[in-house]
Amino acid sequence: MNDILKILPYSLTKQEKDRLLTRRLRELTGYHREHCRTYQKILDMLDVKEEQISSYEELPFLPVRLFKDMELRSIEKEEVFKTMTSSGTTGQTVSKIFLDRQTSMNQQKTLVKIVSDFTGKSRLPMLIIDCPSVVKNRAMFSARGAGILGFSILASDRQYALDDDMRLDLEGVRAFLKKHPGERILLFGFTFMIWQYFYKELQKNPGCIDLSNAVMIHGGGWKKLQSEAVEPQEFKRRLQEVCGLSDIHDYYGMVEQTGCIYMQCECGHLHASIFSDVIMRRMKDFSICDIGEKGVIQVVSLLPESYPGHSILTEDEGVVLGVDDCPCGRKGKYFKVLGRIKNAEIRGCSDTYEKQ
Amino acid sequence: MILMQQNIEYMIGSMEETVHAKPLPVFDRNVIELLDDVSKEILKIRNVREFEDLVSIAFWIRKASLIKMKQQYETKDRLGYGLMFHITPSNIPVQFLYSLVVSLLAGNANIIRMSQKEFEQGRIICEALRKSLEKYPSMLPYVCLLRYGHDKEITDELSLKCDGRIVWGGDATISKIRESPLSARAFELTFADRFSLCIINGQKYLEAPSDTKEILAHGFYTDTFFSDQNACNSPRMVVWIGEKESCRNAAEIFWNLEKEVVEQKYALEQISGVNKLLQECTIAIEMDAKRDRKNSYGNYVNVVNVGEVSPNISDCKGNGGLFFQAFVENVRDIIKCVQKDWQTLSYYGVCTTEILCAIRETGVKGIDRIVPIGQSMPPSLQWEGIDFIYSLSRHIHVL
Repeated sequence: MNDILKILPYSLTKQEKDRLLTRRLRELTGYHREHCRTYQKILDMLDVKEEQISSYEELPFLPVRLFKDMELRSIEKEEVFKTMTSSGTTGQTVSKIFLDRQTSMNQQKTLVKIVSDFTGKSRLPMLIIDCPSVVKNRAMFSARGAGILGFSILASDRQYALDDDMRLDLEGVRAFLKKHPGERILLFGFTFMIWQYFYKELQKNPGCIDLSNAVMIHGGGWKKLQSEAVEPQEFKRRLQEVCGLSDIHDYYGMVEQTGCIYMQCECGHLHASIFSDVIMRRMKDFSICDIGEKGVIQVVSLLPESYPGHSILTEDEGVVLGVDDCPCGRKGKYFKVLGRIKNAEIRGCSDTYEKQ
Repeated sequence: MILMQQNIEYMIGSMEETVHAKPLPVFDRNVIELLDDVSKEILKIRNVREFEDLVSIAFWIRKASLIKMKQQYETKDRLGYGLMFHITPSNIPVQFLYSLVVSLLAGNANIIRMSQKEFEQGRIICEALRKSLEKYPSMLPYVCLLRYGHDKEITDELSLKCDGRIVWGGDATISKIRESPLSARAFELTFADRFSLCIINGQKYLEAPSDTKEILAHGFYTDTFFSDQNACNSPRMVVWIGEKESCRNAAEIFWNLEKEVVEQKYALEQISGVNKLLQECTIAIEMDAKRDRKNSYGNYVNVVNVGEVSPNISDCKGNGGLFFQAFVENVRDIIKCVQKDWQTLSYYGVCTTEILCAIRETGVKGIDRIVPIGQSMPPSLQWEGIDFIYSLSRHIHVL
């Protein structure tokens, strides 16, 4: 894994990346078969023999909801370093992802490599569009908390933009900007929070802060904003209107494969790095969709060692737009996420926080 | 009435009138006329043939059919109890009509809580009922169809008002509804989660002519996919009886034919593919299971072999076309595992006397119905050993 982490995240062509994924994912399948009894039973049911497999596309995938119903671990209980959970609404069961030090560290390193491809090598002062209380309980990380902490290591300095009542702390934000004059600022938050608690406040007083030299990274899904009929384009345009922000990147990711996020490039496409991949599947027989054909998203990641989550079938729909030939110059698959499949359970990080 | 009326959506009728309706004699003339008209209204609909379940119940409530049913009952000294409160399921589109029909025939007024889930069949039925009730206004107070969310206050109120409650399960719904007490003299009928299975003699199946195989594939479709396998009488498991090799061959032919039928008729929802994979994984964790022929039937028909039939096999609950499969030597191997919650046994190529004998000799508590493949759905006044006319009406004892 250490060798893999040395490779630049968007540097491999399809052929090179396929070889890397197949080797490592086959190895992980065998590893988890040996170390997770539950996983082994599932492989037996599916009649999988990973040593006979010629491409990572043939490897089995676990439905993402299985991580809610079961505790899936490939390490002893004592070795669990932290447990990540998806942030479900009250009453909803949450996914539990068990990490040891190694996997957790690899997730951090991967995240840094991916994000710095967009923000540059040096650490930036980071403005977190969320409230401090969300990261308080460090033993149980919610997806929101995990996202914030993960991104925090990219920061040279940190400031929360909201207080614990989700009110914009405009004074604090201004002071933070003053402290870092002329520096590029990294803004991070969940799409819905940004819209609801940041944008809507700034809208009352446009131009009260200038973020024209900042870069924003946001994720967590659009579902909540659909009800307000806010499209990605509109989201960008309006933010630019109120604070001059123009460098905005959405990302796609999930707590089950933390670290391997899919960043949106300058052309508006989500990109798979060499550490992970997406495969769109047809539901009639799980066969692989053609480029441009809509399917259910399977995600694979090279990182998970402490839990058998290296190949997961999500409940999201997406479409691969192309491979290796995005005008932004990054290699690998680039794609679009179309949202949750019909009747799927509602998930998502920022989707679960609602005003009472 | 102190109810939160604003939380109730009325499809037909009003609660005010229904709670004051008087009990009718069983098989009342007006009820028969009304149902006959509903049947006509339903069968008039242009695309009604698409809904086998609807057509089947519409034929069942034609006048001629109802009069035939009536003849089997002593009707002079029987009246409805009064007001029935029905909780009908979200997964079977025509169930609320069935529940209404049997209760009307028994002479009751009815408040029916329909599921929040919208079905085309539900829309057609409501439309037909509305038109027919206009023609038979005296029957208006006997039918009140409504919808409301999981609002305990409303359920409390209706439960106290009614003379009887019918809860179409599952187990979770039943225990939830039971938190709302009934009045001292009221009674309740509940239909809990059940497990149904299908048994086929492998050799007999192989010997069957191809058009029989074709009919069986369609019949099996009606029993299962038609209700997404959610009906309690939908087989979740197929057990092959006889010599293993011929059974395996038979199974392959059977599932490939089934797959063809399903691909033509069934709209597979995307979530269904994911759900079935999840169910397969869950089963694999609980018991020894293996996909049949590596899922070569695609995601329309998923078949998982579970080794042998065992008493806990009823935990295998597949939906939307997920079947568990086992191979045994004789009928007794299955019957000895029967549990109390097993309901319908559908069959092909197996002698019913043999099944009945095995049930009597082993003295198991389950299996209420033994029916040929394709016949697990037709409506009847008897269900799970209960006769609705007798159960939902009051007998006046005269000496």
